[in-house]
Amino acid sequence: MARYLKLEVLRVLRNARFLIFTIGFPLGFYLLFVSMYGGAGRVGGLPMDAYFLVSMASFGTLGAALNSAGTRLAIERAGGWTRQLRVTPLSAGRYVATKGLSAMLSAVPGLALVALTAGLLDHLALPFGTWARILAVAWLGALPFATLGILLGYLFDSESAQSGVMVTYFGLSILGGLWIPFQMLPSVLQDIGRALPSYYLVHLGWGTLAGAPPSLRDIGVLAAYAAAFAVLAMWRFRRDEHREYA
Amino acid sequence: MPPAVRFEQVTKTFGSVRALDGISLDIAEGETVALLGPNGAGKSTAIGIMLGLRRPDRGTAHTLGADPATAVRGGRIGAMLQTAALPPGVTVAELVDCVRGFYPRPLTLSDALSRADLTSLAARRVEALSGGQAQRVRFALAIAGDPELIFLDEPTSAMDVGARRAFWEGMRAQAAQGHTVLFATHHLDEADAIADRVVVMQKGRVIADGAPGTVKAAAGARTVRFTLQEGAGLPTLPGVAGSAVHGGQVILRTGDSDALVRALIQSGVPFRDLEVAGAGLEEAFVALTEEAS
Repeated sequence: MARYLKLEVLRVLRNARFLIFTIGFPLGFYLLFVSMYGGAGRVGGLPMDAYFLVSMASFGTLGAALNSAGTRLAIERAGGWTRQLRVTPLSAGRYVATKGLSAMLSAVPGLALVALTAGLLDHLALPFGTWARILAVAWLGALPFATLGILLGYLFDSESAQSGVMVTYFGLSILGGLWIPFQMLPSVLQDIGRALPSYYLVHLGWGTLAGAPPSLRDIGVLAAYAAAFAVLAMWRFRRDEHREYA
Repeated sequence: MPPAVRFEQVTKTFGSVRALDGISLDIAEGETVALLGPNGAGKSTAIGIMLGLRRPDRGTAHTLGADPATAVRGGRIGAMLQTAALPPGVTVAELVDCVRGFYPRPLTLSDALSRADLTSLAARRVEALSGGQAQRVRFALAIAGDPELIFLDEPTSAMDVGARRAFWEGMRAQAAQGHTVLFATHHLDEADAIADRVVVMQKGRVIADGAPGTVKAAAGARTVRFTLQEGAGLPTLPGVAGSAVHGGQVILRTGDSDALVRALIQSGVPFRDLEVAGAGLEEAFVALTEEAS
C-alpha cells in the first residue's frame, strides 16, 4: 500500500507536463498578477499580494489534485493497466484511496513553491499563524478536486480526457474567481461561480486571510462535493469493473 | 484438494456471439495446461472468468475451490493479461516491487526480477522497454506474489524466437515448483513442448482435451499416402479421420496407421508409392478445428 502510494506520487512528479501545469502556471500567474496590479493595492478589502497568494495557492492545489488522476487514469483504463491491477489483491477502496491521497500529496510541491516565492521573492509579510492557516486551507480544500479528478478519469475515455480535464480545470479556476477577482466577473458568471467548489475553496482562503473564523458553509460545501465526487467515482469504478469487454 | 480450476457448464454470450458454450473443465493443482485455439475460440473469455473479471451467464466457475474474485483477493493468483500497458514514469524494479507489495507472501524483489530475466533492466523506465522486454515485466508481475495458480494469456505474442525460448525456460522453472500454470496460445509448438495437457477450444467449446500425444492421435495425427492404379476404386478402410483424393493420389489421416495399412493390403486394391508420416500438433490442430467448424 505504501509502495503503491510512493509509485503513484513518483509517476506524477516525473511528469514534466504535470509539473509545468501545476507548478509553473500558479507561480507565473502569481508574479504576473502582482506586478500587473502594482502589488500595493487592495482587492476585496485585502492586500493585493496576499489576496493573490491565496488565489494562486488554491489554483495550484486545485490543478494538481485534478490533473494527478484525471487524464492518466483514463489512459490507464484504456491500456488495460487497471485491469491488471484488478487481478492482484488490491481492493477497489484502496485503489481509489491511493489515487486520491497521491493527488493530494502531489499538490504539496506547487503549494510550497508559490508560498516560498511570495514570502522570499515578493517579501510578503504575514504572521506565522496566518501563513500556516491559509496554506492548510488551500491544501485540505483541494480534496474535492482530487476525487473529481478520479471521477473524470472514469467519465472520459483516453481520447477526450485531456481536453475534458483542461476545460474543467480552467472553467473551475476562472468561474470560481481564482484568476480574475471574483467581484470583477459579470454577475451571470458570478452566479455560476457560486455553484462551484472552486469558489468555496478560494473564499475559505480569503476569509482565513482576513482573520475570520472558518466558514462552516464553505467547509460544508467542499466536504459535500468531495463526498459526492468520491461516491460517483466509486460507482463508475464498479460499473467499469462489471463492464464486459470482448 | 479442490481442483485449481473448475468450470461446470459455463456459458458466456456477448451480444449475439456465444463466446463460451457450456464448457465443463477441471484443472488439477500442479498441472501445466495449454489452452489452444484460433482467435475467437473463447480462450480469453475463459481466462477472464477464471480471474473473476467476468461472470458466466450460466453455469459455475471456481478457482482454487472458491469464487474467482475471492481467490484473487487472497493473493493466490497471478496473471499476465494480453494487453496491460505498463504505467509510464516508473522503473522496472519500482513497478515489480509495488505489485509484489499487494501479495501476502511475495517473492523477494531480486528473485522476481531474476526469474523474469530482468535483473539487468531493473533500473530502466518501463516506457523505454521493447515489446518483448515489456512482456517479461508482465510475467514478473504475474509471479511477483508467488501465487499458486498462474494464468498467461498469449504470453509470447510480442517476442521473437530466442526470447520465446528463454521465456518458457523461466516458465518451466515456475511449473517445476508445483505451481499450476494455465496458458493460452496459438503457437502450437509451445503447447506441444511445455504443457502436460492440451485443451483445444473452438467456437466456445472444448473439442479435444488430453496429453499432447493423445490430442495428436485423436485428430488422426498420421497421414498415409499412396497412389491408386487407374480405374481402381478406394476401398472402405478402418480408422480414417479424414481423406483427400486428387486424381489417383490418396491422402488419409488416421490415429492408427498400422491397422489402416494392414487393411489396405488385405483389400487387394492395386496401389504404389505408399508413405506413412507422423504429423505435428499443428496438423492435428488444423484437422480438429476444421472438423468442428
